[in-house]
Amino acid sequence: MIVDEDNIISKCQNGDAIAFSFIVEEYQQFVYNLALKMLNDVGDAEDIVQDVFVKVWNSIKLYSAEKSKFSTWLFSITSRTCLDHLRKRKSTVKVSEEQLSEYHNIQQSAVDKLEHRDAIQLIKTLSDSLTPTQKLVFVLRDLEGYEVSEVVAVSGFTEKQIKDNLYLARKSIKAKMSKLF
Amino acid sequence: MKEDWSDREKEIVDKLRSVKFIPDSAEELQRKVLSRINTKEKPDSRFIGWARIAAGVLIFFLVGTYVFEEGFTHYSRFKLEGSLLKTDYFSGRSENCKDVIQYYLSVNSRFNLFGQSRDTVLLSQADVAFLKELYPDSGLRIDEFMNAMKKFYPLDYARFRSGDVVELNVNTLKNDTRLCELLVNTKY
Repeated sequence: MIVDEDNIISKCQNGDAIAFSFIVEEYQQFVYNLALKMLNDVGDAEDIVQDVFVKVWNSIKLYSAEKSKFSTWLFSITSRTCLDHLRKRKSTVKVSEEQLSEYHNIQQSAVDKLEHRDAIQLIKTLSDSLTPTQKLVFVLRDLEGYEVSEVVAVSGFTEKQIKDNLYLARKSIKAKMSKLF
Repeated sequence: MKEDWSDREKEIVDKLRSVKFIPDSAEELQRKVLSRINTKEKPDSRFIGWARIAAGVLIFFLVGTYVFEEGFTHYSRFKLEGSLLKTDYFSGRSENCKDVIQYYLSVNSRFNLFGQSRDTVLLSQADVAFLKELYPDSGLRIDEFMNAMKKFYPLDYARFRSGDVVELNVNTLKNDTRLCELLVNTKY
């Protein structure tokens, strides 16, 4: 967290773009990481980072530290932006059986040394059949390690919606894993 | 309902969780973000925004004024013509008298021969010639009207004959019973 983040946010709320650059510098990696795990495409993730920070800049006057932590507010914007992007991207290319078979060869050592590029591909392979909501819940809960209450705050879904979607997401991913490993 | 991971699955999920993706060029990405924000914040953009609003308001007022003027003009014209052609005005007089004066005034109304105050009729020799040409059948009526004018408004008629534009009061024409009687008694 940035030292004296409240002061920097206050400056941003008064239109200080230089102060905002500290916010971008501090959080862009987190936004990018979440976006890439959601979208599994480097170009899309970079676009999302830009869109998210432009949205944050345009609506930062609405942010209130009394209502939520800044990071929670930022990630909720990121989540919604990613969800919108996934919903628009209707023509999702499903992972074929041939592509699945490529992962049969991943051995214990290979998983240990998983390269970033392979990780993106593996997440994509495992989660390609999930709905956008299932994917968001799976990424936040299992790939980012958020508590359910945090997922509620970031996604805006109810606890029941999260549990139901997480159950379906895990079931689908377990089925994929059983074919892969 | 609970769908927990097996050890192997948990290991893979944990591994994926531990991966933290970092943009290849964080600085470049940051520059792009700030560039988009600054572009949006340029004073020129704000000025263009205000200029658009001002232009919108101006157009609104111009259109509003035009519509009001048009409406008001039509309303005034309708009101005046209504009062001029109102048959009750001539109640108590013969139908012929009513017809002649009403006809004459309606013709004037139709061809905008009214004066600026719209309670007078502007009449010149050219107007009379124009009306006769336009309504050849009513030439006689117009001649009779000119005779009435000669008899009852000799000064105006003299000015009319000398080529001046004569301004006749509409109310006077309508209320002058001498004029009315003369026109009614004329055989045409």
